[in-house]
Amino acid sequence: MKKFRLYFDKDKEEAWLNEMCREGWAMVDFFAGLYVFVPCEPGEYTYRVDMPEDVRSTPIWKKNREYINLVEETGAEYVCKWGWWLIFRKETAKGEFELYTDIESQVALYRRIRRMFLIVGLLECSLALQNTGNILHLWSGRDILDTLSGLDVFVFVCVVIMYSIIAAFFFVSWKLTRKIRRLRQ
Amino acid sequence: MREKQIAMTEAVYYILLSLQTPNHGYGIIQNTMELTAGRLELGAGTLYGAINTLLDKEWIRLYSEDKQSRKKKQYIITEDGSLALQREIERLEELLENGKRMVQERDAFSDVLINHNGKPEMEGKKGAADEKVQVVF
Repeated sequence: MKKFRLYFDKDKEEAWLNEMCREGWAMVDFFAGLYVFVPCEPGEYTYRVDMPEDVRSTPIWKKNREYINLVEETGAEYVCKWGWWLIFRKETAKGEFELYTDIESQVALYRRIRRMFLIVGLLECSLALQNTGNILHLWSGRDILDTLSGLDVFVFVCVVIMYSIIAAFFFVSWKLTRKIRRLRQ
Repeated sequence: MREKQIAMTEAVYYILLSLQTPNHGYGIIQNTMELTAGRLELGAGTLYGAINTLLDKEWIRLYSEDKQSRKKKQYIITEDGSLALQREIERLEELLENGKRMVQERDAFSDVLINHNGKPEMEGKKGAADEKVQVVF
């Protein structure tokens, strides 16, 4: 079974994967929002979504075998990788599965995630502003309402989507800041 | 390079303890479990982050790397790490001694309170008064 979902909150994504597993669907792969599930015993695994410490030292396309091996030694298994994200699961029968067992490392994890969202958000922002500039330049001097074409509408929709994604990224960063603050209390 | 001392996290403390002799990642998790009788099970993410921080600080260093079995990177504590650990143990000793002493003093003080003007004595007085009344009648 395949399901398409876009998650901006890794805790909600994790909760959803665990809920799917309770219903007898184990996630085995992920690609660009597409989650692949196979049948499993209900509640067979505990899933964890991770962005490990090495985000700066390991290139995004490479697997950090050292970290993956360490996680696997604790009885869990590696499921898949998407960008900086890693997904692990552990058989529920083998006991609890937590990757981050103290507040300090949980805060560090959310900070890493926030940094990633902010960097990508800012990058996208600069591209978006450039694009917007180009589009406005194309549109300037034209009576848009009279000569509105399908292409114009398409471009406009693209711009709206682009800015929505940027807004979502900054919204996520703000939510992460709140999570960090709550953890540190 | 004596930096301002801040309390170590439990993870850092037990990693340093586990690296008195060369040890690898999962060995640290197991050792910590044994030392704390199963109370503290370090998560892989927590351990991995702490190891990297400690390597940066040069409190631990790579001891050996077995290229054949990819996972066996062994680490060991450095001199700086040993010093930091020693200072932390002294800090913890102070914490423990102060804690025990103050709690003992408080216990002694509350004994005094109970004997002289605490609630139990009030009841005692009342009892005595009742007795007196009884004697009078």
